[in-house]
Amino acid sequence: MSESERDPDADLIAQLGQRDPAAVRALIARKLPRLLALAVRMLGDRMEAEDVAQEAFLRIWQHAPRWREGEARFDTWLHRVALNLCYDRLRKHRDEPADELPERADPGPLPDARLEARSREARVQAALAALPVRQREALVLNYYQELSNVEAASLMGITVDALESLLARARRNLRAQLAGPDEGASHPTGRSNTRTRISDDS
Amino acid sequence: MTAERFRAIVDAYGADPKRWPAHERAAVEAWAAQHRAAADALLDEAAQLDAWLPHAMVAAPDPALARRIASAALDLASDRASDLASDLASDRARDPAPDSASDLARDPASGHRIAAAAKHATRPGHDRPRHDRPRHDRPGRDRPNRDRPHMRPGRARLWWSSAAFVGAGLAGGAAGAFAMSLLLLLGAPPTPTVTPPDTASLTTSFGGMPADWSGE
Repeated sequence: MSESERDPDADLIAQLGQRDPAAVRALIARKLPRLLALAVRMLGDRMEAEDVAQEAFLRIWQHAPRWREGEARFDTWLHRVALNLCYDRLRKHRDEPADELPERADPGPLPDARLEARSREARVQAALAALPVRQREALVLNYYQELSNVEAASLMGITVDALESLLARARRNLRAQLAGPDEGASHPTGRSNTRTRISDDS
Repeated sequence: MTAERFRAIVDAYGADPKRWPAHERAAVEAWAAQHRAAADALLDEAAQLDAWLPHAMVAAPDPALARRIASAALDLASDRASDLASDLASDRARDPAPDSASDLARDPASGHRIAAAAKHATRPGHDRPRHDRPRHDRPGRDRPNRDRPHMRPGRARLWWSSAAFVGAGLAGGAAGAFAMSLLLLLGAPPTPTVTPPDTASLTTSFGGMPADWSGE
């Protein structure tokens, strides 16, 4: 990694290794929102996502003193940690019975724009949660986390061609789910779908 | 750039050029400019989904979550500082405990020595070598007791039971010595006196001299 391509987190991690409280606060402010967003979109459950975020930060605190700037960026390593934690939870819930949520949520009347926005948000989240997990992972990393195609493919352990294939299928599935009218939305959290679709994609 | 590659890129990354692979962006835009109708059909379809995706918003982290995470970091740092301080204190105050019961037997009159030995055996840093202790153990934290050097009851019990054994032996020896010296002083062991039940209350504990008030 050349000087111009230095890991943007390297200095902060070095301070963290010296147990600098200011570095702790700075790293939380810098990483927590993205980390939490990643886990929420992968798991479809905010409480579990918060647990994942806490566990991921615990790994940071434990490993920061030994962190050495190398080929892998700290942010890439952190994404890998968070994804592994998400997969652990998805596997744990895979065989559990689905939550007793209604198959289709009743959107009810939408008297104003705010409720309509909330309805659209729920529909997208439900559609995301219904995706096969590898498609969802590809879309979350590339679109929402804004990682480059090379970074996302590397994190997923696949080629860029394979990543593009997953992305195209994810978008096609989303488009199909979102094409119908509002009342065609699936349940708002999509939690049960998330828990049953871990390995059915290819 | 081919039509197939243009389609593959738009299918995967959407209609926004900012999301296209950087090294292909210029070529994709050039192809679209040259094939406007075909490109627009694909871009319009992709843009419909692009309009949906930003709606999957995630609320900002709760400040309480950030505080919990920061607290965990400070706890961990405090653990390590505490371990370091404990190690340094152990180095300064290293004072070996008695190695065997014979050490205690040399000073039988001193009960304090036994108590001190037992206290020593349960003090951190004295019951096993420094390098054998995990650095993360710290009193008062929710860790298994097996990781806490000051929480090793088996070793302490061993000291106490050894001390009690030695103490009982010493007490027995002292009692035996006192009995023998008394026997030598009196010359003969006292003869046990059997008293009938009705006169027992009238005899002293030394026996043989009943109280007779009839002469008065």
